[in-house]
Amino acid sequence: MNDWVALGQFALNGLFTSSVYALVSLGLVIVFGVMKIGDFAQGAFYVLSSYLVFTVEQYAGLPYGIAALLAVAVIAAISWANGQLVYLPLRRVGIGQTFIGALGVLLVVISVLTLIFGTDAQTVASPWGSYTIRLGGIAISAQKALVIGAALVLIGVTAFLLRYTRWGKALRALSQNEEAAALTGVNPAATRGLAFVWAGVLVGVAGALMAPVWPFEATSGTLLVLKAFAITVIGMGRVRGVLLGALLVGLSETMVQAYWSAQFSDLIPFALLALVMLLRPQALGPDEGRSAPGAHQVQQAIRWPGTVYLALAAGLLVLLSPWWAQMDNFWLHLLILMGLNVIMVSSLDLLTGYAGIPSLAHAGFWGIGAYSYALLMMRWGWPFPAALLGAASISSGAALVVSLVGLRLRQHWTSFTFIVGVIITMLLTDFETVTGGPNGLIGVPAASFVLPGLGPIILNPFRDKLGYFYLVLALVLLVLWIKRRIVRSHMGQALVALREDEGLAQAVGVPTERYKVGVFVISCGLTGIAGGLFASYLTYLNPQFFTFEKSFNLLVMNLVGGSASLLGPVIGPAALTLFAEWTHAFNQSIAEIIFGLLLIWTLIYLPGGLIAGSRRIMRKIMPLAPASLPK
Amino acid sequence: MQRLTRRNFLRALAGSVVGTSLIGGWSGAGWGQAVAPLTVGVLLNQSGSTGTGENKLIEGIQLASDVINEQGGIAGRIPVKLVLEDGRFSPVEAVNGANRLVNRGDVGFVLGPLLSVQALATQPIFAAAGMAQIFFGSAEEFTQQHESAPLSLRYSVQTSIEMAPVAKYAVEVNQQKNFFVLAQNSDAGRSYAAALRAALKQVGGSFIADPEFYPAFNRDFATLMTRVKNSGADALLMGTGIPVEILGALEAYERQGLNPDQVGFYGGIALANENFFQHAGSTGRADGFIFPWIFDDGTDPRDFPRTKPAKQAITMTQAFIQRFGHPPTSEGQLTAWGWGGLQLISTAITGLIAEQGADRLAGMKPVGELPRAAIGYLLEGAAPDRPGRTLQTTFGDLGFFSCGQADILVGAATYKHGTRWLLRDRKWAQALVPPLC
Repeated sequence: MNDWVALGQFALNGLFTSSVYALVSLGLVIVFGVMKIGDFAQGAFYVLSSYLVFTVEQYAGLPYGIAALLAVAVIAAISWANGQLVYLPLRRVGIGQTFIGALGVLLVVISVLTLIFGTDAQTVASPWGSYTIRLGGIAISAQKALVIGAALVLIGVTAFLLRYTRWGKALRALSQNEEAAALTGVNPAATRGLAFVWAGVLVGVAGALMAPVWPFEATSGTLLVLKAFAITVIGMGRVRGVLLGALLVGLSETMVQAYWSAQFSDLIPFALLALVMLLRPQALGPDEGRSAPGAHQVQQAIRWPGTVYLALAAGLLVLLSPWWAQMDNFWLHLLILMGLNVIMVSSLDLLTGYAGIPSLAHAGFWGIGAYSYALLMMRWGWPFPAALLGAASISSGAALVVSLVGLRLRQHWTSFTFIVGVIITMLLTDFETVTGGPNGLIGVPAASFVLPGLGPIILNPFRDKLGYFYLVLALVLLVLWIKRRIVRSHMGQALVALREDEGLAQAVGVPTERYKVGVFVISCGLTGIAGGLFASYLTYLNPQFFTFEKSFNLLVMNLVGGSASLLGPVIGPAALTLFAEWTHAFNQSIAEIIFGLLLIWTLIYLPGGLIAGSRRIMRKIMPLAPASLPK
Repeated sequence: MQRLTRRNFLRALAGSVVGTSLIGGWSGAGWGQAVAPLTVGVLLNQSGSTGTGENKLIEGIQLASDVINEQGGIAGRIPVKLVLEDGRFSPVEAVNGANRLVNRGDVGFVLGPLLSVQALATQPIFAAAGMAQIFFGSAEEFTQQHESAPLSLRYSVQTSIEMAPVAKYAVEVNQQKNFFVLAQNSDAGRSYAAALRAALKQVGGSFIADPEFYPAFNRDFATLMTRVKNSGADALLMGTGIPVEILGALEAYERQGLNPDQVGFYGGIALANENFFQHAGSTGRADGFIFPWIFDDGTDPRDFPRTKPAKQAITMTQAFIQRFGHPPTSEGQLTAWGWGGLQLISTAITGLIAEQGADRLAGMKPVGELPRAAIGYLLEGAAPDRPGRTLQTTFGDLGFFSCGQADILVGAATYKHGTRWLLRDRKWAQALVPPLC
């Protein structure tokens, strides 16, 4: 094969990949227009469509074409139902909650598929057999050609619908200004309903057509939808933009594989997205939106003095110290991990709850802190306390760079942090000379320090669980105290103003940009401390600890526990740790289905989280004096 | 014979908690009387991408446990009780599972994990607790860390063992010397690439280009396979253990019009994986692909004189047929791993009883003392360059090197007309295997 023929083959491969991305991205664009969220559940619907084709062919014996049509119809219906039952109720609560809800749906569907079909890869026979279309030395399977053709047709149909039909115009109006659209006679409910259906059709077609092309298993759609989300943002939320974005990403990925290294091909869409965000942030479309104001009213209804909380907690912990000493080692282990989560969620809450700028990069900064600690100890022989502070500093430094760069984005901050988190994880995996790469780092030193009067103390994380517990506990209390100080300070008030109405805050002279940078740096610094502690406790690091799933879990803990509070970020990790322990003997898929459903329920019916729910109960038991209630 | 269902496991767990508290642990119950069982922890993934395969491992362990208990227990007197912890394909869950096992206080032996990242994360936990660990991961680091984890044994192969017959067969038999390597961007993938390179160097083969490390779970190999075709390579290595990746690569390989005569398709033991066998091996799509074989129960057709298979292999296969009505599937090696792991523990304890007497062993603490004695028995006479005591296992008669690596050799195999076919025996490529410690 000569070089030009090879280039032609790569270009055709890239066109095929772009087609798949375009189909899924279009679905995201449609939902984004009405819901203002990245609908990650589409990733699950994509692979569900493939499984439906497989099931109908295998068990009903129907031909591929009929199976595919049935799959598309079912996915369209499921997408509509998901929109009505999950997204619309969550939308009333807030954008962040809706986004988490979408991830919850993704988790539930993946778990159901795993429960039914197991983890083995499945394949569907191509209806064309091994028929391959050849043009000179360039080859493509008939099914892949069909995918390209279908993508072009559906892109055209979607563009036509959006431009020339009543529904399309209504959708565009709704995405611009919902209230104004309603005043002009647009029916928001019907428009949204059709949007969910059409998005389901698009992703259903993608999954059905791809079933005979690639082997699939339950999680096959997850990375695909992440890339499609990146393309949606690159494409500025418009059909033409998505088409161009999909072409750009698909071709770039292919060319990177062809002429550079397959190792970096997954980084491409995210790096491109970051580039677009940086160079043309003003073209990224409507505001991500903030959490609905109502979501915070419940927290503000009762404001008990945090200092009292902390003092009580510290006193209680001291009194109970003989009990800790008798505690089962496994529960001490769980409490240690829970304590680390409390530190991270508390620091995240400064962003999510107080500043209203949720971050999906926290696991990445946790990883930066962990690896920094390990390298400072192992390569440069730093003592433990200095290495821990070094970890915090390096995480803060990285956060400073990220925030200075990302602040230009303003409205798409959360999306940007998501990209940053993904990139950090990939970098931890790929730069093995520094991080050990996929093999990880073994033999990370444990905690050791000198206490006045007690001399040097070296904690063995496997034998000195109690010592580690006290260490983590001390740092938890310290972090909670720091958070409390920040919240009660001028900075804290500025953050709340920023959250409620950034424009107004700026108008009255609050330097919002400076405070956003400041809170992000502080938050990531505290997370870096947790990373160092984690590294010292486990004595082994691997990039697999610091993935997007962990960032998602932290955000879930924050929302479930209750944001913009001192205790919410303590209750959230506690609740999820206990839940995980309660379900550890269950089949994992069943446990995740229960978790996903409970998560969605909590987001809808306890919008302020568990802390808000408990406060409602306490209010009934102990009504407050009138002066304490909000005006 | 009870299957290890969740209900039975929970019942057993409850019973063990009560039983342990009543008996008061290990010591004090002489082995001439009613005996406290030997509690063995199993830390493997029942879910996640490797769940299907690891459940076969668990199946083998359970089968061995049932057979041992039917015979009255280890040495005819010590029943085995299994405690299963699901690693859930997560290193953190594996750490939690390890901590649960340690916390029980009655688990002296652990089988697993399989995944390297989980094994690396849990090895120091078990080492600190004085628990013996027989694991199945392939990362090179294990044997390098043996000093800090002297009670850990690897009853599995390293990639350097796997790649030895693959390299030799490619170059000396198939005359295919120029390899293009596609490997997962993970510790396993990189290890495969390095091991193949080292083996090829000894037989006159080489890489035609730098290995391509693709992201894990990649299924689209169209572009990479175009590069393979365009490179002039006459052999391709798929350095991964994940079936969905191999199936994706196979699809692209076929679409490029490639066949094993033009560009040989070579891989590790994952080409014997049940999922791959179902979709490719048994359908003839993988005819001519070359991969290492580990487990032999004497039933596969072969190109070399049939030797008597390992006694443990026959016993295991017969027990499997009796239980399930059919022989182990193409993943017999996974079942054999599990069976063999538990049998090693049984062998050690039986041997110690024979050498030191039952009473002496009965007086040993189940955590720390007994595991140390057992591992010491298995490693007796071992050196870095010479395995110790010869043991009967599912993979033949073998010993362990002093760094904890089993002296397992593998042969070369292929598929012919949808059936596994053994091409060369275990010792054929022995000279290419580097020092393992």
